Amino acid sequence: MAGSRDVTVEVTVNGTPHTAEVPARTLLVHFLRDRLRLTGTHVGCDTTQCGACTVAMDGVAVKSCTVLAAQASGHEITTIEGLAPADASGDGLHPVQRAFQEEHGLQCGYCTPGMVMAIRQLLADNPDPTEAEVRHGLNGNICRCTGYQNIVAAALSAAAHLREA
Amino acid sequence: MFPADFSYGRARSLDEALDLLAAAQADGEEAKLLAGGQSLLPMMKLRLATPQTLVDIAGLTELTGVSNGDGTTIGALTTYRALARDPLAAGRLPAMTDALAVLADPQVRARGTIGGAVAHGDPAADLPAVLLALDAQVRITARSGSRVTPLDDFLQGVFATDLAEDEIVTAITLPPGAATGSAYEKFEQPASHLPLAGVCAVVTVENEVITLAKLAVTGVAGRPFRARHSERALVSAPAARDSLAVAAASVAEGVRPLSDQHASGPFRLHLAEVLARRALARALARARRSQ
Amino acid sequence: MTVQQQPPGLIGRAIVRREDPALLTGRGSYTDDVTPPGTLHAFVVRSPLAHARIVSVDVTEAREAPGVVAIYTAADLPGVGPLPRAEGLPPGSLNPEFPVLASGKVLWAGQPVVLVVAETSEQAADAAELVMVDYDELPVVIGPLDAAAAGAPVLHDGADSNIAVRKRITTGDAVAAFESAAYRVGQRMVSQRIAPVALEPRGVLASVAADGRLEVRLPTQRPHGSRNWLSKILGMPPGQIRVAAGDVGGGFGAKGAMYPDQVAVIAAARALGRPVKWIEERSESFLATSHGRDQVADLEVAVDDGGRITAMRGTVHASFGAYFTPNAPGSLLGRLGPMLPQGYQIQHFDVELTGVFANTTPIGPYRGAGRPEGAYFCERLVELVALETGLDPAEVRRRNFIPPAHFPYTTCTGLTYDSGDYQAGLDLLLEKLAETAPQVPDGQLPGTGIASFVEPGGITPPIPGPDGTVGDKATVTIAPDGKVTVAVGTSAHGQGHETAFAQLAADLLGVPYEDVTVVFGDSDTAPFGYGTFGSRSAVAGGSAIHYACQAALEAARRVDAPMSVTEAAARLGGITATAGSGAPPETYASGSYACVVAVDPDTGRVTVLRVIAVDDCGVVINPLLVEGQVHGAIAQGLGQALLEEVAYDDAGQPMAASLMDYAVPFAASLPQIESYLVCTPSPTNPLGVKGMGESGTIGVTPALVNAVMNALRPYGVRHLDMPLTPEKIWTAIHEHR
Repeated sequence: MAGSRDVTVEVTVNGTPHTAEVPARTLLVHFLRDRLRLTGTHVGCDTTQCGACTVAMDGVAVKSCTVLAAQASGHEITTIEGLAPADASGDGLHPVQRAFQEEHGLQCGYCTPGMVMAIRQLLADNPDPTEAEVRHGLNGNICRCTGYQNIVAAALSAAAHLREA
Repeated sequence: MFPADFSYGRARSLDEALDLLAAAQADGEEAKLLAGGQSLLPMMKLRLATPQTLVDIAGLTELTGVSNGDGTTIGALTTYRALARDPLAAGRLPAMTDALAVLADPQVRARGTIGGAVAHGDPAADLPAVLLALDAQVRITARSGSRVTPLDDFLQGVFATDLAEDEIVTAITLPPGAATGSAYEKFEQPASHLPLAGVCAVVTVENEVITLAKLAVTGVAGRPFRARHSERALVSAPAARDSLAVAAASVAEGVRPLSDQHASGPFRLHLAEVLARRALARALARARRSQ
Repeated sequence: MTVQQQPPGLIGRAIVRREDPALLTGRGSYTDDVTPPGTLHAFVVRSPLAHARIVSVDVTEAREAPGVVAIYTAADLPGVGPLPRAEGLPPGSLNPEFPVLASGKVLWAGQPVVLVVAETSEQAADAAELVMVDYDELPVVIGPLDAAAAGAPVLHDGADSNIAVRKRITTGDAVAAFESAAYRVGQRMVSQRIAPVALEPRGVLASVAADGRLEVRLPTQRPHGSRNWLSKILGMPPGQIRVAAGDVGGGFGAKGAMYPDQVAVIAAARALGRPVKWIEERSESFLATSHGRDQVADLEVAVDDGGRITAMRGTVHASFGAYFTPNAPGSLLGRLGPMLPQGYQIQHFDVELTGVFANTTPIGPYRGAGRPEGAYFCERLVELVALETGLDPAEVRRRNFIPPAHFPYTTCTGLTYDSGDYQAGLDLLLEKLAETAPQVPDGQLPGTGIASFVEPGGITPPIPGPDGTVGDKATVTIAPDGKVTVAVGTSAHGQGHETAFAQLAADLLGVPYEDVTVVFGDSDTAPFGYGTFGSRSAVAGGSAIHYACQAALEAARRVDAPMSVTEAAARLGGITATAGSGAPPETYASGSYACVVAVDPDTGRVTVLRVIAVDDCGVVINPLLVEGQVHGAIAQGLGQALLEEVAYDDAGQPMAASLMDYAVPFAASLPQIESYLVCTPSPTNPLGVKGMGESGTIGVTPALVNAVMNALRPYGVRHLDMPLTPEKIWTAIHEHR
């Protein structure tokens, strides 16, 4: 046997180490949602287009529906729940989260965690993006509610805030 | 949505990866190498691929990174993201930078690897067009030894490549010299961001005469291909708009185009011509600038 | 949007949403986020064929698969179903039974046939692969015209054609008007079938509580309606059922109906006495969640020598897909048809509406539900009138608009528009359009298009609630400590009602905004209401809250000394007041939109350079939320105009059943939207508000197509059907070059 159907996953999520035995075919997003009950990471498309499942793996945004939990073993994952303390609001929010509220960058909220994680990456790579760069940088995320307008505004506003910080 | 059941093994070395492949074959199982998984896992979730064993090679650091010696060597497990940020690739290979900026999306680029792009044999992948135009070679290792093959021979058809079940792509190598006069142009399918047509052009120019031209096309046929006819038409031609247009007009000569709900064959052929024209013009402008 | 002067009160203020912190930190509660201990998981086996007789269903192997708890076929669910039939159909209509699980025949690729319930979702999916269904294929019919044609394969047993409804709307003398017309302008136009694609897929979680009540978590726009439907479908008293929506990840109309797959899961949970969850996969969603549009119009207008449109006539054929969903006939008969005259004084009208069944996914309401189609057909014709008469498109509209002094205005189709100033909106649009001209890239074709529209909103279904009266209810409770709870029967799924209704109630009661809590979305904790659809919540829910607040204030006034409502509540030990909206007449929002585009003649690609939206939705409660609705609806409208189409092959297989193949707009496909408001208050409700949630889809679709056709004028292209894909445009240019 070249491998095993059940694998032990040792992964640090939002700073907390976890060990679990899961079927090899378990996707990281299901591991996070079903095993760890971190349900802020959503599934929207199944085919790696919508980005609702975006998390950071070793600090880089990836789509957790297209990563096996087994592949994440030995790595560090940050989910939307890891950006701000539970029950955070206002200034307690991460600057990207706060900008989303101030700019009305969310409606139904389903794409939002993935959007926030993607924009966090975008601003880490490019702290002073143009509007066009933000729009292009969101090629991996779908929102059906906002027409993206206020998401783009939130990204630009968060960028300005983070540059000043 | 999740894949059919399979066994998973993580290789800690190239040798171990080859051992795991061999073990799976000995058991009569279909084994697949898992690098970034950005092409394989979606196909497995849709049950279009149902391998019984996955050998995870993503952790093999010896297969990552870009180095310059006699040409440029890119480890097969180098991610698109890493490649785009590598000084040896960006700047020296503008077409590569073009392609890496429009390939899929940032999250996919963070996981997807150059070796995976080549080994997958997707007829509509961006990077193989650039690599083809740059005369890339594929380095392949098996227990029985290693070999090097031109990418043009390696790509065989729709999801078909010259890679045996016991082989691993370890690196892509590019011949020496910068390809500063290069550009990649793409017309994307708006849902998947895959190219309905993509063209990479590499040109050098001396005294306003084209001295070297390479053109590769993806998304249009069963595999990315070199437009040799157009290349011949360009060499020794004046570096002028008309030469580019004439060459572009035959970019897909003799090609049987793909046709699906996203684009008919004739439209794909037309796009290839338009993009060839545009890629050549940009490549030429860059070649002039770098003189 | 221009910077708003903040008004003195809370109504009209751009307050950021109180909904956001939980949603932004991953602490929302969508249906799939809830998994009680012992939850079983379901997988739906669907018909792979578009039209077939079921010869046999064999589940013996699947039943033995690991983890399988139960398997249901139609025969295993006696007494469950059918789904509610369509209501208010014209005499002579078909009204076939929509079963929960198919028996006998399947009528579309994706129809539920078998439900597998297992301990894990993986086991359910694996076992589903072992279910063997033997089919006898039947001939397939797809499009509305083909389905209506004589000799088409007939879907429903006992019917002799696929024609489900037929209604002819006539006023005046269209024949005479056309005979005396200076111009006749006609066109066949298609509003293609598209998918709503709410980012949260559908699903359901059902369980039986210790006291025997059925508890249902359902991503729905209509908690009370769903409860009442379930009561009929399952044969249970409504009081024995609780439907709670929780957070809902977008609906756009498609989460209004009760679906057969959801009913099967709920029936399974009831039979098994354990929680059962089912969450739709995205590829399933393209097969099983209702689609929108799918109409073909052959319409013609008569125009006098002054450019005035005197008459409209023709036919509209609409597909309903394989079965009726509750609102599908109404979208055609009550929206699309009657709204064809839009904001114009057309006197003579003769249009026949034909609705058919076809071997495709059932059609349901999708953002606009008949409104965008009616406006699209009309506004394309108005553009062609401009082309034929040589008049400027804005001038054609000016000559035909209903003037402000004519309101309330009864249209030739029998609707009564409440108020409006269409020319004011158009004037502002033209002013904004003229302010800047975007740079058109070298070699590309510039195009500008406008469209004006009227949007009916705020419908109240004529179905009495449990107290026998029609209307949404609101209950306002003022606790002795001054904290206010507003519970309302409308049910938001992204619109921001918690914020808007708190603003409203705080203003009406004169209490701090922070002291108001808003409750909805749960048939146990919210009073009866019809839910949120058809741009109705501000009108209906808002009116109910208004009356409930008035009642609370009235109770406070009855205290012996003048005092604030909170002081009165302290004195009285709390105040509770419930009121209903009644059935306020529908409101008619309006607007004028413009698009500026560049078309690349080499590739056919359209770049949208500007979108300008001028909306008149009466009094605005929160401009931030209104603007958000405009943006989102515009993106969806541009999606229909440029990208989206659910196409089928000849065998009835959908050709785009995932987001890899079905393109929705991404951020890079859209420009900055310029949004402006004008205000003509509605006189028919106490708040002066008008429903506006769908305006963007209504206005932008014709504006964009008009802009592209304007760009293609050098090639003599008169009309192209949506979506305006690069290949379609390139082909048209190629043919006309």
